[in-house]
Order: sequence, then C-alpha cells, then structure tokens
Amino acid sequence: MGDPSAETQRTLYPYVTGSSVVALKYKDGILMAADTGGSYGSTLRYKSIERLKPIGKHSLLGASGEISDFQEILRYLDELILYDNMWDDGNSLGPKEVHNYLTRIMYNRRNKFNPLWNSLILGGVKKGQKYLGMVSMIGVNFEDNHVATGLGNHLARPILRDEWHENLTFEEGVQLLEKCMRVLLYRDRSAVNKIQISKITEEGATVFPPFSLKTYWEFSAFKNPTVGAEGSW
Amino acid sequence: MDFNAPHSMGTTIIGVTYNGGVVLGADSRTSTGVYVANRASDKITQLTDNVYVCRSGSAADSQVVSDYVRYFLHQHTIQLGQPATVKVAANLVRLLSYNNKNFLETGLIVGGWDKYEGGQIYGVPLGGTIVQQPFAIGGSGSSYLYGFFDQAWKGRMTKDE
Repeated sequence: MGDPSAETQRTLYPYVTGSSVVALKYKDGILMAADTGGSYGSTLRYKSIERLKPIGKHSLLGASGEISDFQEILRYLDELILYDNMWDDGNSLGPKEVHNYLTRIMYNRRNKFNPLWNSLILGGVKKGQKYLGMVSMIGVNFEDNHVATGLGNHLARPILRDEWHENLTFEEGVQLLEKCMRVLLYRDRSAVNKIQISKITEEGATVFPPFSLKTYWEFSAFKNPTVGAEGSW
Repeated sequence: MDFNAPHSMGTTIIGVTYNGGVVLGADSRTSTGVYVANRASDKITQLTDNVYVCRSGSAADSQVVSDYVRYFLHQHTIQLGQPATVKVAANLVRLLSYNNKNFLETGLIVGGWDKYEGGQIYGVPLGGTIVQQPFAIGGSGSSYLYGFFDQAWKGRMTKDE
C-alpha cells in the first residue's frame, strides 16, 4: 500500500507550460501561431520556447501545455518519420496519418491515467488536400477549418467564426491570426508578447522568426489619472 | 525542530555563457526546514572534464541524478573515444528527470564546453523540460534575479564581466 514503486505512475500536474496555439486553413495551406513563452506556474520563466515544429514533409505541430511532454512527443514523431523514410518507397506520412498517430498516443496514455499534458494542433497539406486537426490531453480529437487550444478556444475562435472564409490570402490569414493573438495577449495572463507564425503549403513548412504585436493603451483614464479618480476603479 | 524534514537546498544557482565558454555559480546553504544543515555545500558538481551541473531542489534527488549521469557519461566517453558533448550530458539529465518526474523534485542547470558548439548552458527544470539558454538561473533564490538579469544581461561578455 505504501510502496510507491508498486503504484502505477501518473502525471498529476504540469510544471512548465505553453499558452494557446491558434491555426487556420488559408488558400495555400495552413497558418499557425503561438507565443514563445513557457510559464512555471504563474511566473513567466522562459521567454524563447518554440512551440511550432514541422513534422516530416507535410505537417506542422503546435502544442500548448507541459513543454517536457511536448518535447517527448517530438521524439516519438521523429522516430515515426524516420521509420517512414526508411521504407524509401516514395510514400510519406501525411497530416491525417500523423494526427491519427497522435490521437492514439494521447488516448492510450489517458487510459493509463498518465496523460501527456498537452493540447496539440496538427496541420498540413498533402497532394493539395489541406488538413487541420486538434487532439486534447484526454484524446478528444476533431478536424476543422480553424482550431485553437486552451483560452484560444474561448477568445480566438469566435473571431475566427466571424471572419474566416475559404481562400484567405497569406496576408489576410496572418492579419487574422495577429488579431486573435492580440486578444490573447490582452486577456490571457500567461501570454507573452513574442509571437511566432508558421505556415505549411504543398512546397513545405516555414517557421517565421518571432516578432512583437503592437498593443493599444491610450485610454483617456491613463492620460489624466487624477480626473474622476475619487470613487473610480 | 523537524530534523526529519527533507533536505531542501533553498538555493540560488546561475549559469552564464561568455565569449570563451561558460561560468557557473551557486550558493552553499543546505537547509532542513529552518535549520541550516550544511553551510558549506558544493552545489556545482562535475559530470565530466568539460561538463558540470548546478543542483537545486531536493539534495538527495539532485545528487542521485548527478551520480547516474556521471556514470552513464563515463561509459559513453569510453565508447565514443572523445569527450562527451554538453548536449548529450544535458539530455541524459533530461531523460532521468522526465522519466521519473513523479518521484523527483530537482531543478538543474547543465553547463560546459565542447569543441563542436563551444560553451553552452542548458536548463532542466522540474518536469524534465530541456531548454538551451544563453544564461540560466534556478533554485528558490532565483526569483529575486529575474528582474536583474532581464536588465543587466547582454551577450558576448568577457569572463570578468
């Protein structure tokens, strides 16, 4: 009863976590965005963690949640892609297949009460077919034209539901993602103003260098803080 | 006085890269609850000739992880025929930290020099994340240093700086 080695291992809580990832389908493929912060509880401990990674030739993976588990998932996928390449048969795993593999991993870990504490977004293009899917830490998975993890589901997706349409250009897609990331920056406590955007098209994946978003703070109450201060919040 | 309280280190550890390699620093206090069990601890531990690790968190956990990593690195060096790289050392630390995350409570900073990448610092916090950084701070005392480093750090410093 008191022997810890006899008890099955289980992950109880995450330590270093990444915040939301947002992604959408556009004319040429998939666009994905995430900030580069790694929080340690409420402390923003790491400011340069890359949470968007290309997988094989056709896919992009974005993750929020425990970073060590994300790094482990990248190792699993590395092995998967390696074995796929070793067949040397001209075939390569597409985003649909990788998404399915990830779903199986996440669900099976959940069944053992030892989940990988991540929400994953898998997007890609193969033979002109665009694919965008999500897997949660309990193995829930689905596919859609636009997806988000964590708080992004509540803050970004309503914007996307309103403003997304088929055949967005690259510039329109980036603008839309920036709009979503700005809202997340304002309203998500664990967000940091260092954003990365990545795209994947038939030609391949590109992860762009990090940049900062412009934010608005010109409120009249800040310009004249003493005016109406008494009794105000 | 609870002498059976776990020996936690109440630590500040720092690892910094500079233009010739890396510099590691640590305080020397090990506390058991409120009592200072050892005021002269050595929290910077050698793994190989060219790689050291700064230990924080549980004294026992960090010591046993260091011992295992030193053991594996020793064998790896013999097999490889040349000094192990800092990346390999850091990844071994990560492997142990990650696979035993439910049992361990230790944050480590791995620092060293190899001929391929020069001086490198890798942070391996609780949970087993591995993150290469130009400088790393850790331990409970590091909370006070985040602001300082954000303001004072710059790359490519001299050893004296």
